[in-house]
Amino acid sequence: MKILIPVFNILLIIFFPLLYAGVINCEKAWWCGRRGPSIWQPFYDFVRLLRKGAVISTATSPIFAIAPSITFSTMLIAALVVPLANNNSLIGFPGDFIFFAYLMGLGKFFSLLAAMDTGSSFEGMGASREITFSTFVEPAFFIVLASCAILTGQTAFNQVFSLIFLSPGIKVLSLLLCSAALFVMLLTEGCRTPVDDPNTHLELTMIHEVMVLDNSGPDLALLTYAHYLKMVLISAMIVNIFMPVLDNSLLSACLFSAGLILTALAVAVTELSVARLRMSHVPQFVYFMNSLGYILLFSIILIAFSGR
Amino acid sequence: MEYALIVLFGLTILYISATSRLEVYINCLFIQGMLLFLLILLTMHDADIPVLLLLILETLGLKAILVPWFLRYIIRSNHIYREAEASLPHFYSVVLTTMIFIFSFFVAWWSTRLPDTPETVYFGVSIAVVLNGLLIILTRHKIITHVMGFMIVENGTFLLSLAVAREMPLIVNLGILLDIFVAVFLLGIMVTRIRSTFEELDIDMLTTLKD
Amino acid sequence: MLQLLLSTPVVLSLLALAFRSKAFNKATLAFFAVFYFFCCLFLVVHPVPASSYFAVDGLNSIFLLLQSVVFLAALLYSIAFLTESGLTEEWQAYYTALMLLFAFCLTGLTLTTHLGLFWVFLEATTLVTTPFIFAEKKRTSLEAAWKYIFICSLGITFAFIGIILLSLGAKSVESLSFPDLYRQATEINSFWLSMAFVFLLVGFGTKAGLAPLHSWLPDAHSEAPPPVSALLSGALLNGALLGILRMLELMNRAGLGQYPRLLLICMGLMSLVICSVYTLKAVNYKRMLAYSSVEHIGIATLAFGVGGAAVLPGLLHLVGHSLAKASLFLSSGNIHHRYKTRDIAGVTGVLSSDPGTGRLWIAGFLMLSAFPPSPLFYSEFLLLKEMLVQRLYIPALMTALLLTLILLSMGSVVFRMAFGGNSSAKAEHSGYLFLIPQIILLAAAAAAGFIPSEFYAFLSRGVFL
Repeated sequence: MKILIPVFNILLIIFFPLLYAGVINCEKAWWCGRRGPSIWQPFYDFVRLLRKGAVISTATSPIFAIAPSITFSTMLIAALVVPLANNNSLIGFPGDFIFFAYLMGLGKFFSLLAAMDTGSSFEGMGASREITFSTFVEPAFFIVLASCAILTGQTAFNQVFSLIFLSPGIKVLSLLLCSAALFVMLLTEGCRTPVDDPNTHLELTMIHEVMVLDNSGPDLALLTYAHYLKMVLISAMIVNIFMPVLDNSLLSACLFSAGLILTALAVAVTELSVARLRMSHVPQFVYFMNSLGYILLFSIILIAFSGR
Repeated sequence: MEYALIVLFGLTILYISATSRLEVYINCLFIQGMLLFLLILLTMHDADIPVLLLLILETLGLKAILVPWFLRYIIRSNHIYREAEASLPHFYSVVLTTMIFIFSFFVAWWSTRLPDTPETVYFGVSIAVVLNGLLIILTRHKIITHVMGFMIVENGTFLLSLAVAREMPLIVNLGILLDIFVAVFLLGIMVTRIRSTFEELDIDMLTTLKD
Repeated sequence: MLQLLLSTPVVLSLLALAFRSKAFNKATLAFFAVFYFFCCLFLVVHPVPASSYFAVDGLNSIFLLLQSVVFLAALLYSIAFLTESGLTEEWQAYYTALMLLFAFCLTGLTLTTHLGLFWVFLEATTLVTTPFIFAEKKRTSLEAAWKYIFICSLGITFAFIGIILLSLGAKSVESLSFPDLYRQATEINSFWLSMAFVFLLVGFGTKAGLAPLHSWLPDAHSEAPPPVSALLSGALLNGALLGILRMLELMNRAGLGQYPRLLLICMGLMSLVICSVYTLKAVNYKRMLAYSSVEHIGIATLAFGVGGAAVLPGLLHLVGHSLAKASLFLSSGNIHHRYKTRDIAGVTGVLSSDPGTGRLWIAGFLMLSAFPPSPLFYSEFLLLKEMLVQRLYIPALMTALLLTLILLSMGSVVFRMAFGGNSSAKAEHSGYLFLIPQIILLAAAAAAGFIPSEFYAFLSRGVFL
């Protein structure tokens, strides 16, 4: 049975991102009372895009051509270290959450370069916004993971997340703060509603969508896929905070998938119930993750190490 | 669980510092009162009945129900629907609040080397809440927000007094309760008066008396 | 006896609210003024056994006697004030009730020996006096009342934090009542005690109007009705200072006397500087009197900070200042009643237009600026002497210079208001009830100055160290 888990995880990495997007869209349509697209629509779109040819502007340098592939591949490699079903990551080593963060950073760096490379003012604006929010998210991610590492005494992704649920004394507190911080990260990195509106058609207010305006065909397919994969990975962290390691692999895999669907539903509900923030108010929302992280870190230090 | 409640109590302050809607402020005051009430139920269940009743009256009755209701009534009756403008952008407000949290946790952490310190989480969060209440008073323009800032400072001191296991005599506690209630009541009446006299509820209006 | 003293004002204020008749209000005020004075006198002469929260000891008997005299004068003046002011019947009842409640809070404040109860009463005095300040419903009075209640309540919250910190350090002490704390002073953790003192000093200092925390004081004093201003200055500031004194004694007993003294000296000198700067360009005579209260409270604080032989002059200073300042505030009420302005520029020739008030105005000023037989003469002289003995040369020099400066600028204002003007205008005498209270106060002050040795014996009961 144990051998099935890595296989399940690989399948999860391959198929789940597009399903995740489909679930969010379906959910939003259902809440609005529309029939909406089929849950498999992202798959159809993906295949359709792959069959098309790519149009590349003559004004761009080779970076524009290779950037989507790099972004896609870095996300795939990053997916290897994130613990998925049964808190099991495909590879794991001490300090791999740093590896994860910088792989994500590398992919983002190239997509930013590509956006700037087109010379379009809209894409440059989108890139500048994306990097502004990332500067708040990245340190916050490290703080949150570092506090989890302090709490559990482990530095490998999968061990941190398998132990955090069992940590004594301050379980409720750490679960609460950790998941809240990661949810803010999910909304920011995934460019979902309070930060960005994925449905908008106005380039002036876009963040992620505007960066990929010039990509087409397979390039666009890869970028979209990488984007959803990123959301799935962050959701996987949130789910794993609440998941202990179980002996029954099948049950654990099912629970994990259900958890991922639940986070997708949570994202959809947030999108439906919250209005998009004004661009000048977004940094304070993103900074919330830092605040939560600091409070988590210092409460853990205070509670766990003050001996009281 | 106890710690989670306390930290949640701190998080309400973080939320207040990030928003500018008066309704949210009142909701946060209500949540703070409820959290203190739950905290009392969790920690004080072995206290004497009169003391427990008084504490419940103070948290649930005064802090969670009466004061938010009264403030909401004042807001409605004075048509204060505009936002509570801050004199500094909300982003800096959130950053400052976070810094205050870090600072207070450091103070609490440092205080463990002293004898007789209260529990560090209580201590840290209550310092942070008191300082943030002062920050709200300093940076917000609306008079009604100053009353809310005052209530936040009071909530912070209440948490601090919970951390110190020592109980005041009942008569002193009653007096404290009465004082806070009358203070908020008077402040509320004065908000109404100031509104009807100045037709504006901004602290910048109150600058006629100076030397 | 203690219970009687505390319960009478509450009962009477409820009755005043119930009856709402003008005659009853006046009768109540007159009765209570005399009753309160003799009750306090009796308590001071015949000490009664302490109850669990209240007691008369050497220190608070001074304050009790002092505030009973100020109340006697202020309540008598209130009767005249209510007759002339044209307040509605309803407001007169509120005025009477609040005045009596104020007396209750101040009595409780002075008599209580429990730190927590002291806090409760101190906050209650703020709440009870706020309606007086915004009674006029003008823009300025609303602003003053808002600042008063907000700043004081916030300051008092700091005092509460101080109490919490003190109870942290005093885990081994039975209760937070002062006798217990004094008895086991050495067992209190010195770090928490020092922290608590700072917070309590900020809290009580706000209420006492010490320099960096005085911003509410001139506004509130200038907008309040004259009897209330007199009581704020003559009794309430003292009450807050009583808290600081009790804490100072605790610090002394715990062997931490040094740094609180430094704080007190700094605050005292700062109060002097603030007052001298303001009086140079005074435009409003009630504000000027209020700033002068900051100054005199500052001098008393300075004296307590210097310590040693200066504590007795400090107490004497409080007595002299309260009596003289209360009389000045009451006289300023007469002036305001006649001239309808609080601007110094709008008032000339008080002596010729209202001879009684003018004479009392000048006499009060002379008493306040330490002309013998004013007790302030002895207190300031002894304070300066003690500062020189302790080799505090620079503070002593500063005090002497600033006192001279304040005397000069205040004197020019007071005399400009009293003399000059059109002497042809027909003199109109104020009613006797507008003059007798000030005479009582000034006579009491002069008595304290004429029989210094007996008075010193009484005061030295309250001296610690």
